[in-house]
Amino acid sequence: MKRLLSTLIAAILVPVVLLALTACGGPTGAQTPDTNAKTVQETGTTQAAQATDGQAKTGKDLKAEISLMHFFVEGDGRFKAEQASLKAFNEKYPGVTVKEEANAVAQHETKMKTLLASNELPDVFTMRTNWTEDFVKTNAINPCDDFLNADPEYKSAFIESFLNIHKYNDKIYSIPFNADYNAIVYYNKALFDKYNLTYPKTWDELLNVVKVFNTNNIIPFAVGNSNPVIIPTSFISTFMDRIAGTEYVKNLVWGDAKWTDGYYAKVLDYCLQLADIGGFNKDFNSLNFSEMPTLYGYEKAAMTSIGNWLAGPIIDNSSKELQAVTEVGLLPSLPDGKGDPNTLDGGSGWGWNINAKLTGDAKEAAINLLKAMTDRFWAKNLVETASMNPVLKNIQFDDKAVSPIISKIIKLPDTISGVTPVFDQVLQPEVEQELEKATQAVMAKSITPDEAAKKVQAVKERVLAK
Amino acid sequence: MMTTGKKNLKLILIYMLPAVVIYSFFSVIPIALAVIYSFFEWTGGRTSGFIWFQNYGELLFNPDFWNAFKNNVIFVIGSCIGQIGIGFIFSLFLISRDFKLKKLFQGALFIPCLMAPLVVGFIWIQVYNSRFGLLYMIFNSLGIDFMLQDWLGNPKIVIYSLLIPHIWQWIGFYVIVFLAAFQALPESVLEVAEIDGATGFKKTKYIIIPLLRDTIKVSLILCISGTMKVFDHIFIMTGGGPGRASEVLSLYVYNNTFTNFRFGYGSAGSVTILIISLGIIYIVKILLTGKEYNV
Repeated sequence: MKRLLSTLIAAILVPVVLLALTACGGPTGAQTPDTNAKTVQETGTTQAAQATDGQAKTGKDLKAEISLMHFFVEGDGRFKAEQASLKAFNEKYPGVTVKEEANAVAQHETKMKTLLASNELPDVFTMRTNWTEDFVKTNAINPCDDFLNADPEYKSAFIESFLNIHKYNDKIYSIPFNADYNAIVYYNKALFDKYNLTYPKTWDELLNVVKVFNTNNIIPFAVGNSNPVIIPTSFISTFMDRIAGTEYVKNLVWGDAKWTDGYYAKVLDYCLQLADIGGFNKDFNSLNFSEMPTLYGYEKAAMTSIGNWLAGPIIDNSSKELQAVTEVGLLPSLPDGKGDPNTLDGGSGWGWNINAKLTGDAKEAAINLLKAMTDRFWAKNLVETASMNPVLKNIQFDDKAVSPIISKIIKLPDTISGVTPVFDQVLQPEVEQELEKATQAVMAKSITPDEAAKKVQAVKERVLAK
Repeated sequence: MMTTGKKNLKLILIYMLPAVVIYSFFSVIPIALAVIYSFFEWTGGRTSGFIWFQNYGELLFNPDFWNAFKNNVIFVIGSCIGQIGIGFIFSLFLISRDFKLKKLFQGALFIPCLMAPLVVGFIWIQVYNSRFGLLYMIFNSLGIDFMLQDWLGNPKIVIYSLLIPHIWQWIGFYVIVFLAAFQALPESVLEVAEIDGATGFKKTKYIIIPLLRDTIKVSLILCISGTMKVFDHIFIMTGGGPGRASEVLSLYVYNNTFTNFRFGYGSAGSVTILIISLGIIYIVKILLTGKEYNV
């Protein structure tokens, strides 16, 4: 009897456990037979021919099941805009089922890279522009030129310089969805007026502003560098341009200029000087960037230099009175700087693309979903609900319905003389990571600026040598 | 008799099968794959190149790897002293006759062990917050200014700030281990010792610790192997920063694999961590193999 009982338990346990194992499988990607995938690899043109030859199905006829992966979670300003676009897409194409997955940006990046390694990329996804080379080399994505050229009305809506940022080997490999301007200084004009200060345009003026604010117990710049991308994306990218000029910065990223040429170390010296005289909050190395809007909103900090992507939280954390007196400006010029002091660092660090393995109806559905995430309806919502700059021309929005801060941000690009690259958008991932860690180490006084420059240059040389 | 023996063996193998299958899938095969990948230059996807031991060479000459190793060693030493040491002292209190509410304290000490390391990380971020954290509030109200540090932003102390949550989480586990070991101690030996006049500290030093030598050895092995792979709460609290001040080996491998697209190099790092951990454990085992006490 005991023997029978034990055998019975074993017989139940084994299949249950094996069943549990199979449940741990991953999501199913695009359902395409292997032969089709091979064709895509061998001749990309065959795929394009297939897409334009067949009749474009109308909204109601199109039937497919596609997966969508992005980083517009509820804490991101673009969440509402994306939900609105998805809803519009679902209404237009009721036959298409979209399986959506959103993760916060750091987790999204990790997940995308893991899925790339295991060859299980979703159907429609957001990717960083500096991943393009790796994705193209592993045949994960195709150029977007085909469906862009097939829809001239859609293509002509884009500001061309932004589309060009997404080019690799002269082909466009992802579609931008917002313009990033990463070193906008949001400042509280009422606080400046209270202490008879004007917004600093030069370094010396900035030092004076910092001194006055410190005497009155106000943090000059709210900085949260625990995620080490914050200082490089705003201060380092801008100051490198101020001190050496945009051509040099481009040469540093794509050409043979060296990090050890001296400019990077000098910029780090300036940042250290700013931190030492109390230009930042004391805990800037351990504060999270999500607390920067809070410091500004509580009027504990007079300024915060960050991208337009944090405008939403800044607005959410600021009272109506504060929003009315918030102005936007650029970081100041540096003494003996060769660069134009009127540039703003920006670009387009992310874009949408579709899985190269898609064919037929699934591919068409994916392209339509991508278009829904980047068209004029998306752009209008981007401005009104996410407070970010669109990459399309002439987007009309209701001035009265949005915060005054948004109007200022939208108009800011018209006042600058040029755009300089943002390091975390254009550098190879390895160089970017070393830049972030080295900068954070310098700001924490673990290493000297010269040592940091050597570290970054060493990684750049290793990456280029491959 | 022989037939029942064979039948027993078959039954044993069937019972073991699910566990062996799971273990192979989740432990043996991934480790084997990691070893294989470590010999390739692989950036994910389908392209890879066989590069012999180049990954290991680059790893061993990289100062960042040794910095991560140093941080790990600090962690291991601190954890062993903290977790096992404090755990042992607490368990001594818990077996004392005069101690009340033993079950309550046992439970309370063990609760942190049940928490996900991520949760532990989030809790301690709030404790360490230098603007409104628990430590700030306590020391600010007491006026002790030198304790108002940037706990997670000062590269000199960050690794020690991170050590404390790790110790805090696992003390309860070792309390339980030692309590179980105490149950196995022969009462007669302890009573005889007390009659002979060895009480309190003397009893602990000369009687209890030698008797528990094996338990201490096992605890050390568990502590070292668990701490060599510490990752979660450091990732959440500082991500290895500022700079690389709190980067540990697993975080170093993670950054190189997932941020830098270098799966081959990351695999080499993982295999190296495995070898180093096994080496440390082996050394500890040899050092602690002393005289056998027959009671």
